[in-house]
Amino acid sequence: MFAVIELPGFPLQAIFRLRPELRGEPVALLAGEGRRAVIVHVSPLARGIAPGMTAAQALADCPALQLLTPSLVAEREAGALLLSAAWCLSPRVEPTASGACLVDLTGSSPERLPGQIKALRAGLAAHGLAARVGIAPNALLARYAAHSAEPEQWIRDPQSFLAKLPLSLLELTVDEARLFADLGLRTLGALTAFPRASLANRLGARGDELWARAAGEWTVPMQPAPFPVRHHAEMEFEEAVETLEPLLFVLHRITERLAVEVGQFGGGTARLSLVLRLDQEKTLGREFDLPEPTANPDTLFAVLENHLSSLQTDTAIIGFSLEAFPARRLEQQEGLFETGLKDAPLFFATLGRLAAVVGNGNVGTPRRADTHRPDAMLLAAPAGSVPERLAPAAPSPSGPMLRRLRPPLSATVELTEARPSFLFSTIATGEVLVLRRPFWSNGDWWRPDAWTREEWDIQIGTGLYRLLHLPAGWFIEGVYD
Amino acid sequence: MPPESDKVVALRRLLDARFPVAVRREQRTVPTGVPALDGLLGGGLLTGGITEFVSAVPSGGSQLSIASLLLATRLARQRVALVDAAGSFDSAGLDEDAVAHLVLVRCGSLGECWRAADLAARDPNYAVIVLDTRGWPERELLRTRDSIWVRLQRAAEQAETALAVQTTTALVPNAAMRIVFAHPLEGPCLIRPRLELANALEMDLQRSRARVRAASA
Repeated sequence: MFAVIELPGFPLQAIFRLRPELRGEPVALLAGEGRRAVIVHVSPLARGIAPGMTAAQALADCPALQLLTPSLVAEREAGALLLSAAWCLSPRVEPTASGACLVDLTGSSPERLPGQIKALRAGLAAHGLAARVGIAPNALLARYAAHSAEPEQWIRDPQSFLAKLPLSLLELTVDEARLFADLGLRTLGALTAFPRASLANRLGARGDELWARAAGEWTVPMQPAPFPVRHHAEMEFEEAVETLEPLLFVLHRITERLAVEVGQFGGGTARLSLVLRLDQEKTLGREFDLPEPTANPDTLFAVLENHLSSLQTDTAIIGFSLEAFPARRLEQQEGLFETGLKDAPLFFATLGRLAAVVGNGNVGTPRRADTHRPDAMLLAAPAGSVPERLAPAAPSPSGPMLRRLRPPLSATVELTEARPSFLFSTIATGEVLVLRRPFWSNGDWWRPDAWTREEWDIQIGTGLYRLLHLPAGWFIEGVYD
Repeated sequence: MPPESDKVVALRRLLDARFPVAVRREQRTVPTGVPALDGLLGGGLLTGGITEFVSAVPSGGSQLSIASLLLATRLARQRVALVDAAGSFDSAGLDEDAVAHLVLVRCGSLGECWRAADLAARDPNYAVIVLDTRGWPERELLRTRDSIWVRLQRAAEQAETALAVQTTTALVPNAAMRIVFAHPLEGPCLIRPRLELANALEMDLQRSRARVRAASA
């Protein structure tokens, strides 16, 4: 069995996929140079417009008509998506025309095939592409079936199917069409009712070929396309992009296609590479390592979106390239005591979003900096899994936790016999009860930012505070809570 | 009684179709490691709901409770996110391994704090989200729209995460539990072992909607 998958009106569908706002408007595609340019494709809303009209004729009939030229980038993207979808049915896929491909279904399970075809159409529809599919015993019949499918046609009795099909399917020359019309032949069935030998005698080898095609005979060997080695997309914008929305929309569509490509046969990607091309011949590149291979387009897009939402460029974006590096998805059984992440991509996507809100240096797991300087803390990237707790090297600490005031709060202190006795500040004012003797420390004396400090633990009313004496004055460093 | 408008009827039908049965997910608890607190909370912080810790006095032990919670979740190897509105968390009071499971988010404004908490609460990888709003003036905190708390509570419910909010005044209208730390720690506490101190902490339960619900069920 063979299947032919066709995307009717392919050049228009490809453009609508990247520019969905055009779906609700009358649109026509022009091909050709200057005044000789004629309309080649027309959207359903462009009523009264037919292929072959010039731009002037079309605009006279439909002033609201949007005239566009075919987009090679959009067609390349939609074509790649079609092939990727077809490879989910079979490894033998041949791109037969722009927006059409032939799939060899040999070896497919007849029970599962209807469901797979339905899923393929639904998958393409989800990506903004309407497909029609013909399934038949050979490639030619499948092509005929796809042409008249609404949107799916299975051919089990080729004779009766062919009998009613119009002769126009044979792609006749003008002379041939006129000849068959004079003979009163209008369907393939009428042509094959004619003796094959007499047609060959009259029209030569061409007559024999037409008879064979009308009878659904197909002997041309299939030429399957190789799998793509690189999963890559490139795009140049017609006008430089200065806001994020159009860039994100196109990127979303492209990540969908790349996800389908890398997701074939259970694969995924663990690394993305994005290069933005900016005005003034500048480029901006970034590689994204994912916590685990995935073929989820939303996850891939979220990674790019997080990065771009916090990115500022000096000049407008004129194009980009995006590559997904394939990787085998992890197959592992979760352990009984496994404490890994429930959803690793979401965890790292959330971290990216948090960093976009509060800044890159303000999210992470606290780590001590390599210094004795007080309050020297770094925020490191969180690990993918929480390791088992190590036995603490130091004895269990004493006292409540310190809640720091950052920066320390300035205070006025009265001293009695070189000890604080009364404190004035915006959070606590009153008589000081000294709880612990001062603790002196200093460090980095060999550097320009050497530090020296004197700490007092005090109580004022119901609050326990750490009082700090620096060369610059007295401060409340924090509250014990 | 006035006749119901078509819109109300349509809305009811839509709700009936989408939610044919009221589904309440099973709520679990995350122990805090403070015996008195776990006792009041019925085992620990409730997942899918908000527990509010009100620090009525400066040194009532609420930060110590968070430190105990960090240790308890670290032992259970659960993830915790701490959204620190005023940047007051001091990890120096804990050994480095004790915070290996912690994702600290330091915010520069209350707006950042709400957005960060909203993002974290939607991530089911976190067992607990701690939102520390202390350090901001009460006047500004009291201006917080109720819709923010409703949104946070819904997010925590969806992700089955426990959300603990630390405040200086009762702030969260939809808190399932409200604990008030009004018993000040005394000076000698500074030299008592922390574990002993946590075991001796005292606090009051001011609100327990979860308990009312359980009683009426």
